[in-house]
Amino acid sequence: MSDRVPIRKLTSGVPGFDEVLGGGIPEFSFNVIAGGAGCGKTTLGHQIMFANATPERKALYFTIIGEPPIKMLRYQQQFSFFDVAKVEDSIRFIHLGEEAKEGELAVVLARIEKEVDATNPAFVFVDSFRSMIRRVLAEGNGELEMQDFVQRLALHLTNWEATTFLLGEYGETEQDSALFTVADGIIWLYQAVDRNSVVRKAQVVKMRGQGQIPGLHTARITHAGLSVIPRLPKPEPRPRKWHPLDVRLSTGVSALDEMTHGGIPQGYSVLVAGPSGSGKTVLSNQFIVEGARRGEPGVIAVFESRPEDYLQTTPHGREFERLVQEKKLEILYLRPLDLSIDEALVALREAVHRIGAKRAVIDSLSGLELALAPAFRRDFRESIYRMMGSLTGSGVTVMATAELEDAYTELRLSPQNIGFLTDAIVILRYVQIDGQLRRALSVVKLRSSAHSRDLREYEITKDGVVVVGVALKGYEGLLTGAPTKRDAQPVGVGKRHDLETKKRRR
Amino acid sequence: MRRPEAAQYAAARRLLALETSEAEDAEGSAAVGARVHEKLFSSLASLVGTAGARALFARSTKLAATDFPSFRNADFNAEAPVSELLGKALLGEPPAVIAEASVALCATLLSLLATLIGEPLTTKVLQSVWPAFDGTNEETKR
Repeated sequence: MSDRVPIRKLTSGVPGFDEVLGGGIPEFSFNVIAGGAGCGKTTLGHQIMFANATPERKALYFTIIGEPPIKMLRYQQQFSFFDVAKVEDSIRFIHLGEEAKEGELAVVLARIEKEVDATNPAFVFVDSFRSMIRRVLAEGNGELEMQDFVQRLALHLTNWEATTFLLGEYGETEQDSALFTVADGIIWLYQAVDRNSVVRKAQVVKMRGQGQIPGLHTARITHAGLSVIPRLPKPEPRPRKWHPLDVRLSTGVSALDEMTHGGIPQGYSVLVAGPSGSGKTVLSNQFIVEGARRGEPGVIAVFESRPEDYLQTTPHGREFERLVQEKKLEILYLRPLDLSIDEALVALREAVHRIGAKRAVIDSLSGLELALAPAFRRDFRESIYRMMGSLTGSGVTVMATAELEDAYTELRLSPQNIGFLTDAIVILRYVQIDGQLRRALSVVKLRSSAHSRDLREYEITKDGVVVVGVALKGYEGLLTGAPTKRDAQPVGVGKRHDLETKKRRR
Repeated sequence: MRRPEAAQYAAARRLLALETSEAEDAEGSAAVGARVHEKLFSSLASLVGTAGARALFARSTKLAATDFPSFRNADFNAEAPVSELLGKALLGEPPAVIAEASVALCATLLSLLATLIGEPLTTKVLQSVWPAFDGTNEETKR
């Protein structure tokens, strides 16, 4: 038997936040919920309260100066977690404006103690604590008075077996306050404006006795209240031991399977990079269709068009509609312009779980980047790394498309140097041969596996199918877009060259 | 704000009835109204603070003054119990008018609360004072 005192962990009632907290809120802990105006402190406080309060384990919510209580009640009840039936039976709101007006912390403390003694609550909230102490701190010995108040409040409430939350507006530089020393837990909420987007974040600065997930986590406030998306989601249970190279997934393009020596290894991430119109989406469609045919459901995340539009315009739209109905395919549309990569990842993982997906397509990484809030775009490479790692770690094989600029002056294999983050890269290029713009593809990387080094010509049929032909042999400089036949003049550039010379002469 | 609905008048009458003892008759209606308002004020002051409760009563009397002009005399800036302030405002009015004015003020307050914090929460607040109170909305009683 363990001789440690067991500490029960209470749910925060906030989706995703218990994981960040390290399991929940320790019972009888003394916590601070801090942050600037409008960052969601009161919403978080209410959410915790409504998730936990019962007639047997009542909550007291003290309001002081700050948001008028009537407005707080008016707006908070718009959230779906606000259960009016709990008010008065399980939750009591008490305003301490009169006591706070007197300016004496002792008067406020006496009233809190009196109410706590009378109600014997399991949860106590003080909102906004900061507004009350601001005036006291401005006085000469305010710091001492505040320290004494906090110590007494913490002592009293903990001894009364109450889990306490003090809510207050604090700047990021005020973390050395005595309050933060006394607190068992500190939850910091942020709301940062970056260009035209607003990004909410939550941080568990301190949570005594348990391992919280460090760092800033994306938060969102919807009609359901606050939700937090852990920055480092709990690792998915790995499928039973498997070696990726033992199991290969057909791409749906037999020649490409041949070029990869049997298909894409299971749990690999593949980047399909190419210029606009080169057939990236078509290739990814075939990958999904082939999966469905083999009993491997798929998920497609799209960012540039809504699922209904995507189904209408994508070559395999009709087949996809059927697959969606048969629950063999889910199409996710992720396009709020202040999306975080963590939200995209959570949505993808949930979809993968829903239909037991083995394949996922992200179409496209360029669209995903545009959908992200500017603040998140700065960490795009790191985010993609985490996203790929999380999905492939659970055995899902991921194909991501990316727009590759038509630049023939340099050899680029992936945009924004993200190529090293994926296990495989397939590039699609336009090449000019005999006065025609033709398409060619190549497998430039397949981690730990041999693969063809050919650059093969391919076509997209009118039915939207990628058909790969033979290797373009006997040319030099295919990737420059203007190849030359060995021991010959540049292929197909003669006419253009002549035209340009004529233009210059004019 | 709209005038109180019939259901809110009915709810106000039920509140006054809950506060009326068997010994009280029409003559005692002023005292009953005062008790109801004092209890309401106390409950609201706990919820939204004294200043908040005063503001709610001030707004309600202003609205109720359309039908009962005597309410214009109520000065909620004065430091006195709310029942005293209302008593002064209605001083000299016949008992029947005081009884109706009390109902009207209570109904107006219920209507204002319903507008601000919603019908269900208003009912909860009232039930914390009068546990037997069955709601401000006829629908909720069915």
